[in-house]
Amino acid sequence: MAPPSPSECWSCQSTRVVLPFCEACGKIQEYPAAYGPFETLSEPVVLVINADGLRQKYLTLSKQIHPDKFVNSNPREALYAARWARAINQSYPALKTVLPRAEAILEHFGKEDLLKKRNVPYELAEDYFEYQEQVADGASAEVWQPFLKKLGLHRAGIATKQALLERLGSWDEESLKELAAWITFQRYLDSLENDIKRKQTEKTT
Amino acid sequence: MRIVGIDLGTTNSLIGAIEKGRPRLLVDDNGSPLIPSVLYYEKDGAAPIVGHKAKRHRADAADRVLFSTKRFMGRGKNDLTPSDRSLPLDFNLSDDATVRFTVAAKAVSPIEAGAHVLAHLKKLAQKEWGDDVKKAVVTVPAYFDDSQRQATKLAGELAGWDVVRIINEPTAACLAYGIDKKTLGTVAVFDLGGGTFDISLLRVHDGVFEVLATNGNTALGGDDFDHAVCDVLLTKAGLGTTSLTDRARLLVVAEKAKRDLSEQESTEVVVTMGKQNVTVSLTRADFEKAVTPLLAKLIGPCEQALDDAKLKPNQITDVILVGGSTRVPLVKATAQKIFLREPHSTLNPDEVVAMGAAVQANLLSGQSGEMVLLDVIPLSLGIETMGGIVTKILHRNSTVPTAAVEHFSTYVDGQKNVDIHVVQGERELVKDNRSLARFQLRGLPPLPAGIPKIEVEFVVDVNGILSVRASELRTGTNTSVTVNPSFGLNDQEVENMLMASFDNAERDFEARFLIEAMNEADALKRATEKSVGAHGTLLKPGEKEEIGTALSRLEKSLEIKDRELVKKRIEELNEVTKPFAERILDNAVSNALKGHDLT
Repeated sequence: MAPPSPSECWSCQSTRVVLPFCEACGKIQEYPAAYGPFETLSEPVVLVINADGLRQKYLTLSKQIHPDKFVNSNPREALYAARWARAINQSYPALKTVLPRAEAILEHFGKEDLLKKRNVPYELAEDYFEYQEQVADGASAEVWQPFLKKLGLHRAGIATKQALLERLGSWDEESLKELAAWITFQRYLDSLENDIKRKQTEKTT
Repeated sequence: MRIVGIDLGTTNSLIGAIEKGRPRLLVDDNGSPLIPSVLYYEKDGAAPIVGHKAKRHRADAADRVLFSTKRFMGRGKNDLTPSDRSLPLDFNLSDDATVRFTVAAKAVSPIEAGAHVLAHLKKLAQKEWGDDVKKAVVTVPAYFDDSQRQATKLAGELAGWDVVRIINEPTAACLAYGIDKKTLGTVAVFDLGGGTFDISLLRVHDGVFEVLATNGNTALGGDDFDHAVCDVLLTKAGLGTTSLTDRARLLVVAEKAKRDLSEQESTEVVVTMGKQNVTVSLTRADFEKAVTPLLAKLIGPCEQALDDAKLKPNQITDVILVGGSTRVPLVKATAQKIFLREPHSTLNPDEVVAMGAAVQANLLSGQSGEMVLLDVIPLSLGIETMGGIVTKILHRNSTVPTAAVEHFSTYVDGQKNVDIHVVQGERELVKDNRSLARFQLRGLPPLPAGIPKIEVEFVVDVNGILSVRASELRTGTNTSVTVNPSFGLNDQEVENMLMASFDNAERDFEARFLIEAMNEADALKRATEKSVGAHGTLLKPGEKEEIGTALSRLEKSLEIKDRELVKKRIEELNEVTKPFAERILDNAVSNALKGHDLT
């Protein structure tokens, strides 16, 4: 899956390049422009996360390429190390939790546009506005309870969906669409819940 | 070459280095490693005296003394708190962006004041280790924003240091604790100094010092305790407002009373006002009552840091106290209450930051390979978008170095320039955050609103210092600007200060200019490669080869490390790609206008 790594070391021209280093001379190599978080941390493009393994990879890589280790190297190596370090520090948070990781999968396949479709259940929005009006008209914060319960049911549905998506070892057009729908719905539920929480605290304070 | 570690403190500054595997701090004539960050301008027009000798004049020559100036590093007029204003310093606020002080008939900025302290430390270091000591790691409060960091770095450069690294004080303290034990667990570093409060949560395992979250308050410290004590003393003595000289004298006795009350239950204080002397007795209970509102301000940042790190207080395995103000029993008790664990200060809380800076300096000189520090940015970084709203580009507690890009477009048809306003902070509205820099992306192609694709890239280096680049992608032109956010001083001022600085080695600047040129070359190289890849069809026969040659010449110049050569190669590449860039622009304009009525 990963884009081919450069075949030749810039310094010793050896072909034994295993990014981020050349195995022959040990010099750091350029960070490939086509790399994304999965390639950077050599992670499989799947939704399921092996948190300990990923963390270990992140720390090991960080130890190897931290710019502090290159302060006395030539500027080219220092530059390469800085770029690797930035990429690694961006990639780890992008892969260690499920929602950003799902987005990273879409980006990996260049399908982030799928997120623009707002395929969320219309009736939820309708309900939400209804309750919001009741609260605006002076109903107590308790009025949200049935709605929150409903959100809870949707959450359960989403968890099941997540379990299914986590079983996927490869992605096609159809499964990526499913993934995008799952992300948008998850985000939608989060934003509704946050909004209600905020309204409830506003009410009590 | 030896690299030293410096703790540039609000009250005291320290300098040290690793010798035979242990941190060693230098002492001055007074025999103490704590060198007061105090300046005494004995004569108009002459360089000030720094340290203990200067501190002795705090009470008798208040109008010729500067102290606690670190509070004002990188700060503007509007950042001043009431307790800042009550400091016996003669503020010169003629310039909104930078606080200055009038002393000995001169306006002195906090940067210059810091530079004098750092220059004093440099003399000390050169006496001990020889004249070739030029490189230093300088610490800053973790919660310092970009302006405050840049200001500190500049102060170092003005003093003739090559500041190889800015590191966070709590992190440095943790490094000092970790020098023997590479695994500490999950550590809370509670750092209350003379003027600043930091809380940092770290996971220390197998030589990796990973900062999980940091928070704090850059305007809260022991100084504020002294002011609170002053107010109590005035009330008890039945005295009202004070002159600058009286206030300076009062602060000195208040500070002593504070120290005494950390050890004993009560103390007698003589309050002098003009020719009046009033003896007042002060108990620890009086003191604690006076500082309780200040201590309450320590809790919020700790809770926020725990929340950001997704930790519960009981998951913290170690609480380390740093900073002289943690000697106050009630401060210790506050830390204990928050983290449900007895805090400790096995290493001297006044010295531990400088020791850690020395450890980091040693790491940077390649002496110790098995430790690495992963630090974070304390505050989110973003830009202003329509309606005065902040769009965050990098979130607080992101591990450095890091980078992020965000895409924007225009709001008006044919818009030629875009203002880019870089801000730092957590609030939603621009006006509630710190403004770091403003710049303009000029010369956009005349396109309908929403068509230009403006890419803004934020890059934060290991020092936590930001640079911003903006470019218009659709045309692939090299309309890019790199700004290093300023802190209110304009370039000319900075340059003048640099020129007038004490003993700057020319090659220090040469090195900086070279790095800047190399960064520029790197950005240009990437942009060119991108354009060649994306718009290959617009290339004329032979042009690709020509660009390729210019690119490889540029690459070679990077290895030779000659600034003039790099600059020359950049110009050459620009020259070669110019016709190509123009074609890309024309092409983009005609594409964008297709399907639009031009009535």
